[in-house]
Amino acid sequence: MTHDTTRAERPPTAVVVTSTSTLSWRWPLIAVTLVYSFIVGGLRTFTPASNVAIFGTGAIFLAIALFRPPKRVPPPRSLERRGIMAWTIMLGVFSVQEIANDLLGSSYAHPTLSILMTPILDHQLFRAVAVFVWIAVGVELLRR
Amino acid sequence: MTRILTLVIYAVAAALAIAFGRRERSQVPTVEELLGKVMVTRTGRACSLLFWLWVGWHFFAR
Repeated sequence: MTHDTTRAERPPTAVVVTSTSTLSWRWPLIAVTLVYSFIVGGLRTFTPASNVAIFGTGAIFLAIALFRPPKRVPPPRSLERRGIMAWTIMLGVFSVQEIANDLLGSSYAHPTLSILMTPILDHQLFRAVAVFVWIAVGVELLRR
Repeated sequence: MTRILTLVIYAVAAALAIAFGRRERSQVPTVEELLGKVMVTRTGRACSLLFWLWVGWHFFAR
């Protein structure tokens, strides 16, 4: 009886602590990710350092996904067939265009997304922003 | 001309990816909802994460 009363009077500390803990970690993590993105953004492509940075990040994310996945956002119950069709058409047209341009030599006249992104990603700042966005997408994938 | 066509297709695709599902009562899912559905299965999760890793390698390391 006494045990039940104690349980009933206990405040929901676990929920509060989890929420505060998540919030207290968020900004330092964002700051660290920004610094890391800037460092990775400064690495030259086709170098061991850039490969280690990207595969190292990927390995950490895969390990988290496998061994310590975060609390996931519940998936939608069902998707409308028309909605899926709209995405399929859009992604299909994009993919066909990308593959066709690649087969045509990926040149100025037939640019793939990589060719279009190269001059932008040549700048360290833009590259760092892109790395940060890439990591943010990875975090979002882990939560799904 | 083909370059402009390519740019238009990429711009439209990007705009649609952002706009899909944002309207109220839209039948088209948002990109988050679509990902949520894909990530339900273990295969979907593995493929999505590997594709994400490939994108990072392709643009930042290769």
